[in-house]
Amino acid sequence: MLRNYFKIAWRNLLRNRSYSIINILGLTAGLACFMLIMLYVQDEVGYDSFHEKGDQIYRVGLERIYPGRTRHYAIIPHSYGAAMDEEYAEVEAACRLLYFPNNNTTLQIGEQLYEEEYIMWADSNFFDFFSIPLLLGDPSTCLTEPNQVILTESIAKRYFGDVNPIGKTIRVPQGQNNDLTVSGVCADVPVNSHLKFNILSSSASLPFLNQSNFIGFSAYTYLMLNSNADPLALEAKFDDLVIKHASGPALRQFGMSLEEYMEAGNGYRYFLQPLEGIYLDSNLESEIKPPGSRQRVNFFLLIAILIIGIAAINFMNLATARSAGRAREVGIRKTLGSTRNQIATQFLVEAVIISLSAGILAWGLNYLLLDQFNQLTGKSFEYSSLMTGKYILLLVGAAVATGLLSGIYPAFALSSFKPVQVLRGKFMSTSKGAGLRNALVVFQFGISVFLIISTILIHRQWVFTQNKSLGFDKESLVNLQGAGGLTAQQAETFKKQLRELPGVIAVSGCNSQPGDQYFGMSFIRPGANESTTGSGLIISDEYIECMKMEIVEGRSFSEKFQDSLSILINEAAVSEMGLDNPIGTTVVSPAQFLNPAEGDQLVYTIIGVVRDFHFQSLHHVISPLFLIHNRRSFNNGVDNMITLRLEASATTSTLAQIETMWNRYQPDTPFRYAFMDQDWAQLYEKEMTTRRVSSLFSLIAILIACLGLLALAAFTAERKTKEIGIRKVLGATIPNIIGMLSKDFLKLVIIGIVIASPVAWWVMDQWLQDFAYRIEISWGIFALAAVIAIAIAFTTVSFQSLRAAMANPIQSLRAE
Amino acid sequence: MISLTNIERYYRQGLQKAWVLKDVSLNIEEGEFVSIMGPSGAGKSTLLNIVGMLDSPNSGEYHFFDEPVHKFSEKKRTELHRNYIGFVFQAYHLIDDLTVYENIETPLLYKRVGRSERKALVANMLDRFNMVAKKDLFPHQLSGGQQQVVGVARAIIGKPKLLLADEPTGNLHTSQGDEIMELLSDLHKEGMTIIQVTHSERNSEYGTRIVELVDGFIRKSIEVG
Ligand SMILES: Nc1ncnc2c1ncn2[C@@H]1O[C@H](COP(=O)(O)OP(=O)(O)O)[C@@H](O)[C@H]1O
Ligand SMILES: [Mg+2]
Repeated sequence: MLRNYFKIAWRNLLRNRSYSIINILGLTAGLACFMLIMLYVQDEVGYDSFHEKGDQIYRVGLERIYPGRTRHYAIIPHSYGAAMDEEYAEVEAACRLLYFPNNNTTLQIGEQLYEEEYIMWADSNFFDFFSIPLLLGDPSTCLTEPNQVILTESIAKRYFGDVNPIGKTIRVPQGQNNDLTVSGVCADVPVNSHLKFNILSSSASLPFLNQSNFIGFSAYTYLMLNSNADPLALEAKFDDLVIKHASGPALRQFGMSLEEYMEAGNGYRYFLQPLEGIYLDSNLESEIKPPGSRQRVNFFLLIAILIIGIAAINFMNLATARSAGRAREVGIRKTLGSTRNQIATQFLVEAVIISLSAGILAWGLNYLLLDQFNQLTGKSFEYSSLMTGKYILLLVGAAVATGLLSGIYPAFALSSFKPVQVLRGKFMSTSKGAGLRNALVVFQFGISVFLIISTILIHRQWVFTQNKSLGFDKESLVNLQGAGGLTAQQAETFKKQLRELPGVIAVSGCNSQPGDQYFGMSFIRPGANESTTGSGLIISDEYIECMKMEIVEGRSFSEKFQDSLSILINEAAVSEMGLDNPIGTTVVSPAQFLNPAEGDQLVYTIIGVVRDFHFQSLHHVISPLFLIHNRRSFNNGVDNMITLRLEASATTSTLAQIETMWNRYQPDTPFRYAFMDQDWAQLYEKEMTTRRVSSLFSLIAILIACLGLLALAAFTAERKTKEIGIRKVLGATIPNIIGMLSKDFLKLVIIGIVIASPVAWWVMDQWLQDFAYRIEISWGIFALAAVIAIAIAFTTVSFQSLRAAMANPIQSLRAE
Repeated sequence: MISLTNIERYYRQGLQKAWVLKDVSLNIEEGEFVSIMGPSGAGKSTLLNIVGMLDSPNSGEYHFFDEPVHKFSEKKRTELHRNYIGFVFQAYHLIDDLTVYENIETPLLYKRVGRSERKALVANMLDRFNMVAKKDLFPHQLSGGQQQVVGVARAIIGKPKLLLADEPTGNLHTSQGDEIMELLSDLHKEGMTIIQVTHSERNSEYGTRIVELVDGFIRKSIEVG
């Protein structure tokens, strides 16, 4: 019997070739997109799932409340880990990680110099927490002593080749002459982890960790809870811990008791994040790696399901539209003794054959498109990921499920035909399923319009972020990293010589660039009882001019003045400090590097106000910023980073000259430079991926919907051949006929638009909330989407209608 | 074998009832060959469909081998279609996608007849109707007469007790029609009960009884031969 089902299904597919091709093409495209997106989604969702005790591990995050705003940090004061471990029975252990971004270190092995960016410091129980295999070394002692380092496998290979690196020495030429000793080699950190390091050093190497600190944030802190602990109940106890430990330090730091400080609108709320959710659900300040986004994953998942849904709807629509043609067969089979179930099974088998063929083609298509998909999403899937049991199971499952789901209604509808109805003489045409068919077309075009609208909005927001004035000019700016090895005097002459190079307009120094992390700091007016917390930036003379930032009041730093006790603030700081007359206002800061080791706090004077500029992506509101002169920095006039403005016409030869100069001054440090505009674009990589993926897959979804509409239009035109013939004989023009045939479809498309627009508005409004600076959703966008959808649908339908309308009526009438 | 008592069948047309069969009572014994005759629209097909359990009367009783058909479940009817009743249609109604061989084989699939037995039975049937050379052709490659021969073969391969034929020769030339009538006549001689609907006096004479239906009434029922 089954054989028979297959045989008949196969014949049917062959006989209705164009119908089968449309179905298979649509489903293939749908399944191929679905599977690619699922690869992406599985990868994103699977971050950090490899840790054996992952379900017991939580990271402690900090919600830092300032008067008027709140910030969330991934790092917390470094003494809390031990305190929590000690205080709470349910905490089995705590592990801290420390990482200082933009802090490249030059390492020396033999005569060879290496520049290393991803160095992390970890407590000795790191390998109890995180399931990164330790390949060489003793897990109980490899992170206990100062200056021990563990290399990842590939770094070990790079530094030492095939020699066993254990016990080898790595010199740090610019450091305090501490040689590092290799104590272990671990596997490379998997890409799908929120962790990232090439070298893991012992936390014992950082002396400042020995001093108690419950105020300043520095350490990623992970807790291992026992298996029946309730993380929510634990979280609730943290407030008491803050009062217990932070009261004393607060009094010293802020000059007031913690209670007063909190009454003034400040607060520390610590919370727990499950390890496996950190990558997708956590988007705090100072994350180790740019985090993913659950929202984006869900959005992609939605697109994947919608695409497959659209393809499945094509299938259902074509199947029911063709039902009249198969009604007779159903009738005959019933008179021959077939049950309804047998007939339904027959149709389901047909549907599953179609969807499985599509599945096989989709697999091939994934194979062909994997590279492009990697480029599109920035992932690096291997071909082997198309062979895993999981993938194949999902593909087959999705194909069969699509086949069954899209086949079940037609099977149900077709098998319900009564022989007496369909076998009376010539079979009559039936309108069975027309209502549902219309509803599904509405749904399909609703989805298409939804996707068009969201694509337009994502694109507009993207253009907006790219074109929004940042408050500085990011074009033609070059940053040289790793300048910290120069003394203040060397740096001055180096900068002077750079300035003389042809093609260089301005040269200045700073400790960080917009888009990277700025450190946090606070200032308070003497006598005021509220300090203002914001970010700090250390800059040299000429930085403001070099960046083309704007001074709205006062002046910028200048070598003509002794500016070591001057600061600049941005407009946000002016308003948060409530200053009517900022210039000349004096302030003090508790930050250690701004004060002498002993004695009273130094008094700083505000000499200028900088127009608010974006030092974070447009996801973030501009917050208070304090710009401090580099003569007052901990480096005493040393710049971490040198920023140059080049002429727009500057060429690679300018860069080559800069490099030559660099090598003369810093032979020990590799020359590393980056263009500001490129770094800035990196901040939007996420959005860029979202934009590319959503526009591409929306386009595919719309194409599949059109494919279905094309087939339905063809079917309608075919069924109305005789009517068209008669009307033409009666004098209808070709436009009349096209109008008649297109009208019904356009009605459906318009209903789809009306339903989809508010849904799209709501969803995209949610999406835009993620941006502190965003476009308005205007009605024009909906109008544009409507026009696009109608134009696409009309073109599709009239293509078929035109053919039908142009046919010679004599022909079509004789055929009857 | 078949006993119809006071069968009524009407269709609703708005509020009105359009009567097709009014108070039809008819008994048919095993081995009879009945020809139903009457003008177009008289309700002949409707009557045949009711007898064939494809349609149900609005009222009246129908006993098939003394069992009450009006109380049969859908499953029971399907069971009877498989094992007791064969149909031949005016428009042949072969399945377009199946070859001659497969069309004839289909009822056996529903009867769950084993593979080898199926082969033997179909081969027998092809042989009997001289269709061996045509077994791999599709219906549209055959003449009307040949299609109807396949239709008859398909109807009787399951060895039904009752063969129902609704104007089996209506679409055929006289000579082709005669051939089909000879076939039916042979089947009747082998003991099959047959009910046919026909317009032709000539064809009706192959049967043992003629039932004349006019406006939903049986006007007369006469034995022939
Ligand atoms: N499904 C139906 N709905 C309404 N009227 C029907 C239906 N089927 C048959 N009829 C009517 O019943 C009458 C008898 O039909 P039928 O039994 O096919 O006649 P015959 O076969 O004798 O020509 C006709 O008038 C026909 O129009
Ligand atoms: Mg009739």
